[in-house]
Amino acid sequence: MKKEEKDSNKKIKELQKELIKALQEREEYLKGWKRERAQFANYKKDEDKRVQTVINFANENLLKEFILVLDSFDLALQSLPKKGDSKEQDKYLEGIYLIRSQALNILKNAGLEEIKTDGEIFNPAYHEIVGEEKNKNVPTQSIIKVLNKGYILHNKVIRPARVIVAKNE
Amino acid sequence: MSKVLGIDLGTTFSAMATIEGGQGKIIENTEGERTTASVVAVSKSNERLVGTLARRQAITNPQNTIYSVKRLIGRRFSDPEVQKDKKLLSYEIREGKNNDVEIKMSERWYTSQEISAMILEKLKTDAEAKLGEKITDVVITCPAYFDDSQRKATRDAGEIAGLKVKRVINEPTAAALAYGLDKKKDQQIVVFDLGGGTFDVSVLNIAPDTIEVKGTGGDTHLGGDDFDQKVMDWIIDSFKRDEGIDLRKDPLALQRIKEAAEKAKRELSSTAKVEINLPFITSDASGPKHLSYSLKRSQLEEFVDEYIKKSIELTKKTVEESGFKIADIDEVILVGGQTRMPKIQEEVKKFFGKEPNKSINPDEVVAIGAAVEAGILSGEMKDVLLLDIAPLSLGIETLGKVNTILISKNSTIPISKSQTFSTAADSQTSVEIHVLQGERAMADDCKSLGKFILDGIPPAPRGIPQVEVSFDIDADGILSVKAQDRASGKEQSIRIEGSSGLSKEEIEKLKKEAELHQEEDSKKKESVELDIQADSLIYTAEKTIKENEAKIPADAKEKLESQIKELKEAKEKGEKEEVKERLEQLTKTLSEVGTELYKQKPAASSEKEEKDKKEEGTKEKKDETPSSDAKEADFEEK
Repeated sequence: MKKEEKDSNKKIKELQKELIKALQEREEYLKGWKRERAQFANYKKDEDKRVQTVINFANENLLKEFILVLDSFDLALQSLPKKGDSKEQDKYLEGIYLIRSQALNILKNAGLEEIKTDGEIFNPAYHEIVGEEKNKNVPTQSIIKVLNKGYILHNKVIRPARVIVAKNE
Repeated sequence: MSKVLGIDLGTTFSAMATIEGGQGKIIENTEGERTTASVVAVSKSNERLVGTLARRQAITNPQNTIYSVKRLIGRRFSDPEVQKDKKLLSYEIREGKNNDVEIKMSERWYTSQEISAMILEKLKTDAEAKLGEKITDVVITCPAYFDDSQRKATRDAGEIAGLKVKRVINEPTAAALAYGLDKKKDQQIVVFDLGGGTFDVSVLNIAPDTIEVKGTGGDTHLGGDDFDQKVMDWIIDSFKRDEGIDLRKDPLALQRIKEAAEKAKRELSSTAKVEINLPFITSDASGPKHLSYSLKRSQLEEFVDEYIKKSIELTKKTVEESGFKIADIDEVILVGGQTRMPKIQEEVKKFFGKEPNKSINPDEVVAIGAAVEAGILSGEMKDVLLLDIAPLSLGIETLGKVNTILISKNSTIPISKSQTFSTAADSQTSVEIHVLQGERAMADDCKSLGKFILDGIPPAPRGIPQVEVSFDIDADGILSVKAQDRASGKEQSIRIEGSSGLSKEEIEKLKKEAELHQEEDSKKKESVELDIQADSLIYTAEKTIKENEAKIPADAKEKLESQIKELKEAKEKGEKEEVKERLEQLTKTLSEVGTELYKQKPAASSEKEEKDKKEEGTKEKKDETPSSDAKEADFEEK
């Protein structure tokens, strides 16, 4: 009898251990499952925001490429005379300026804005320094030349303005 | 439980990731970038800048713009590497109290740990902003060749930034974790890491409890930047030859050329030839000058051939020194942006005789691996929760021997999907469910996993019965397919084990085959679908005539009959365009006749409800099988 009792007790203890372990696991799994379910629900809610971001920036890559074309256009315009030899030439120049304006309008409608540089002090959030020039007439680090315009798309800087700043000393 | 962040603290760029839904996900910084430049500066207006913002003022402030601090962290000042780098750095360094390296930034001296801490601090702040919760615990990666002092210094940097560094793990190990290769026990893995400025190659052994580094090698001054330089040199030399002007003397032109060179190099990874187009690059007495050249991929490969050869040589040396033969290597992983170059992928594949792992973004894979380790440490990546995927699509054969997919490839399992199908012939009382695996459009080109028959379907015109077919894959990958007739409630099912019993190579082969045959397959499928459409229309038209014999005017009947004949003939000939034309014609006529019939019968209901269904194909009508109760049939995979 005694041996049988001992064996039974031992078996009971083992089963109790297993039961505790199983209950702990169950608790853990249920918690984890609920958390995962909640994470999924929250993820779905965040999905709307993500989709909106994708829509806003769907054109970002295309616009970044197109900015290079605008840069070239600006360079071309800089090298053309402001005024032509004749009224006829002026008409051609006017036409080219209008084409640039047309391109810029399309980009504005897509959400692109030019970064302000006139009279500004260098701000790394919006500008990138490509050179310095001695100039005592303006505060140090003032923007004195813009080599490439900078652009913002929906509050995100997609290309900083490339500028030359003043050096006082 | 706060999230643990995984950070790849790189020489030129750093990245961070966390676990979302059991997978590593890169977190963008506040500038919207997926990687953050490992640059710190104090600007001329005394502002501390980290990342891209620091880079934007580097040109005019080189002494106070600190980059590549990873080359110095944890090293002694007298270290030959440090002495070598000292000559190349634009900022000042000196020997610190503990023989370590101190860096001068804006009149103050900092340890390299303090500088690295500034980068980590920015990553921490940006991650907190993006995730909306505090980050305290991190896992940071470091090169496999880092010694104890360098690892400790990396850990210190984390602590200075206010982070609890749970672990510092090796970059190649992180890459292996990202690909889940830590499960490949007793295998040897080579990680080929060619980044912007450094090349590292490591040999790993996946031991039962850990990932051991068996050997490391590389070149601390070989990377994508060197490739860019070659392209730049070619552009400048070409222009000098053609125009007699050395653009190296023009910093602004140089800047444009540098960007154009990098862009061209990147584009040549996906195209065979690019145009390098820089109008108004400079000017001289004769007016403005434009730069315009074409560069072919083969030319780029020639320029950088010496670098590629060197990287393979160093790889060979490292594998040998680790005590292994090339054939011992089971897996290869590509890390670092420069490994996107097709030639490099080709050479690595040729060298090892196997396809390297490259599906995860090579700029992000280390951060993702760090996040996986972070997930394991925080308990989010319990083995028990790791989920598998269905490597190939699963479907059934439908009318015209078409493969109709129910579960798409790469779906995470466990998963259940079902779809309703119908019969192809009138009074069809049984359907055969032929379970297929594969991506091809036609059933014959796919792997057959099993077949079963559901009978006892009440006789009805074709397209009327509703048979719901459900696919269920459990977490162990066992597929169960069930077919149930909605009307009679009869069901039949099959259980297929080892439905993903194909090796990785076999799976890749099948996927590639599907890609190759995609156009051909889609044409075939279109043809079959056109035939099915034609058959269906002919059936409907003939039925309409038969059921409305008395009411259809003679001329309309004749027109219908002749158009049915024309469609049948076109279908016989197999002329797709003609079949389409005849289909349109008959549809129009049938519609007109239908309208007329409705005008005659004011309260008539439509003969068939329009349902969005596909039709099932069967071998033949089954009329002798007795009705049976639903039973499970265990099927071995064919």
